Amino acid sequence: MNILESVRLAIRGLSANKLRSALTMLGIIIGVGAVVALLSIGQGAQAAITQQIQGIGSNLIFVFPGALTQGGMSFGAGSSATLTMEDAAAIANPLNCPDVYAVAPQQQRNAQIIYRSRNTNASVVGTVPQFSFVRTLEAADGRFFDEQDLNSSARVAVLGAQLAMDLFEGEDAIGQTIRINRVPFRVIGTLVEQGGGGPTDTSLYVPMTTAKSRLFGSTVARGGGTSVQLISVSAISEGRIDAAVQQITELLRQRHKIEYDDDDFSVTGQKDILGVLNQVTSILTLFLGAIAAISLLVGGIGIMNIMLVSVTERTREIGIRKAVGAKRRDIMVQFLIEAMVLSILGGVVGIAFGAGVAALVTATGVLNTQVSLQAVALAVTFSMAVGLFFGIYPATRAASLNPIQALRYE
Amino acid sequence: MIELDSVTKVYSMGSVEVHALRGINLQIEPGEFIAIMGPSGSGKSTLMNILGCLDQPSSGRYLLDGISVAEMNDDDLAGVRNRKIGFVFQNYNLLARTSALDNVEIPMVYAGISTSARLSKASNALESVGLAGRLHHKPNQLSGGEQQRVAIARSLVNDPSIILADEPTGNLDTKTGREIISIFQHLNRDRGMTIVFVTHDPEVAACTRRIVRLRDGEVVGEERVANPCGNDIASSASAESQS
Ligand SMILES: Nc1ncnc2c1ncn2[C@@H]1O[C@H](COP(=O)(O)OP(=O)(O)OP(=O)(O)O)[C@@H](O)[C@H]1O
Ligand SMILES: [Mg+2]
Repeated sequence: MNILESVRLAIRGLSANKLRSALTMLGIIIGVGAVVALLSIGQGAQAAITQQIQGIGSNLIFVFPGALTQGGMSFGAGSSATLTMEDAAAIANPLNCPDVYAVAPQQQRNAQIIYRSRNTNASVVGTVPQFSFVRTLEAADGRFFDEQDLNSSARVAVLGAQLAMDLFEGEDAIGQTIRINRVPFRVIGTLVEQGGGGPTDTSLYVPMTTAKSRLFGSTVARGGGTSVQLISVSAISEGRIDAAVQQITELLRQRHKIEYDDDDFSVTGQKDILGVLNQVTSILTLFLGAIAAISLLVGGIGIMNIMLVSVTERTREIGIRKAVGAKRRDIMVQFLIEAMVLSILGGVVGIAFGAGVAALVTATGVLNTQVSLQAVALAVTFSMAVGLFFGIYPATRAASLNPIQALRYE
Repeated sequence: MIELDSVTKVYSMGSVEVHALRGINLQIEPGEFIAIMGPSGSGKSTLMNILGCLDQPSSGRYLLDGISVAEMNDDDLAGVRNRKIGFVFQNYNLLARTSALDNVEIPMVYAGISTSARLSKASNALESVGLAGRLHHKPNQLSGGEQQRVAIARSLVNDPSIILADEPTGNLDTKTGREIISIFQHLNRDRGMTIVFVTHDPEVAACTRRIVRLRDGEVVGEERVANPCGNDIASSASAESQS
């Protein structure tokens, strides 16, 4: 019996019992579909987070006060007051740090914001005009404050998109007066929405000078000078980020008179943050993968059940076929091909199904999912293996019976 | 040519041993038409299964056309069942959800016959058992008698020299049963096939040329029928039902 004949026989066998074939395929479809969909979502999430991090600034470096906590990074900006405005100015000096392009120190505090009868709490960030460049903030309306505003300690404020929405509810905010801790400020700009639940959208930006004189008062750093909570630095190019980190570290060690490795500050490139977050998202993907693996397993058990349940009927069929002259090999080939046809068909439909779910998620706009080749390969390999194993195992057993035993099997 | 020499079959079920056949000696010449009779449990089916190479004897010798069946392996036996022997079961044993034509084709698939030749041979075989109008019916769309005819068509489609039928009419009414036996009669007379079948109907047995009686796994009597009823069993049966 040749292969073509076997394939024809297998397809005839499968179509003779459409329900059983469909149920077996359903197991494979669900397994493969789940893996493809979930891994696509996981990878989409990873890509989205990476993009968001890259979106917070161009070639960004953060300088935090306080030492790096072990094994990770300290996001507790301002945990100790060791960085100063003077440090920021020194970093900005191209003679000290040639690979630094722009520097934006910031000091922030929560404050009560009032517009007419509306009243909310928001984080007020005192900073310098370079901030908008370093953190790639764009004005949706109006403008960011400039050097003149800074030098004159102007009482002007720029609102994050969400905060503007909350306070003004669609009214034109520009030129309106709001009160920050009862001090009146004029709104000169609102920012483009960043999305992703970051702090930028809900914060409010004022000139550093105004913040110190009118809102926070100035805090004196440990070594003297006006302290800042965070210095955001932009390197001249992506390739010079590491060099810039090195220069800043050396400069600050010199300025803070640090001899050994007990730095009282930490310098972190955007890449490091990305690395940490990527670790988080890999765990997320792994987690989704685990769920997918469970659905594969459940799908596999489904396949197994259908195959084993149909064994009585199949055993009789094998008995009949053997009684009229089928050799053991003929039986094996028939079942092998049946299982393969089911697995391949189910796999293809499963991939389409998974990709469909992924596309649906993308269509909702929550996430841009990415269907990866690995996910597809993994799902197909596994379900094929399960389908083949549980398709062939009962058949092998039945094929080794003599025809009478097979015909009597119950 | 079938030769059985003190063939036994013992089924062991745990500690209990069932002696289904206790030393059968039997010779069947080519072209014979034989009925096997005997009470229930006497070992008729066991004997037929061994004759049909569906099962192996526990001891004794079975020579089929001079070749010892005990020395054949699984695949050789499959080949014998495929080409030399046609087997008809009491309960038909057709593949469910598979058309009459496809069922009859199965032995030819394993004989390696081409698709087109299969189609014409299968429809010819079905025609010869009077089912020309039922080619595409599935077993569950056929009556018992029709299903048995499909099974007979399947058994003779590879032109075997021997047809074995284990109570082929056991599930059928007398008239339909006799029509089935008359098909065998024709195959024996017109195509010279050796036919061995099990029956409980003495009148049907009387139309054969030899009756073998079994009891408790032993041959207890062999009768030559002096003058087998010459006419068609089916027509004699219908004549009987009219009287
Ligand atoms: N697979 C088996 N395992 C154990 N004992 C068996 C098996 N098959 C048959 N027997 C026993 O062998 C004996 C002969 O059985 P067999 O089926 O050959 O009888 P039979 O003459 O065909 O009867 P019937 O006319 O009822 O079909 C019986 O006693 C039966 O119980
Ligand atoms: Mg019986």
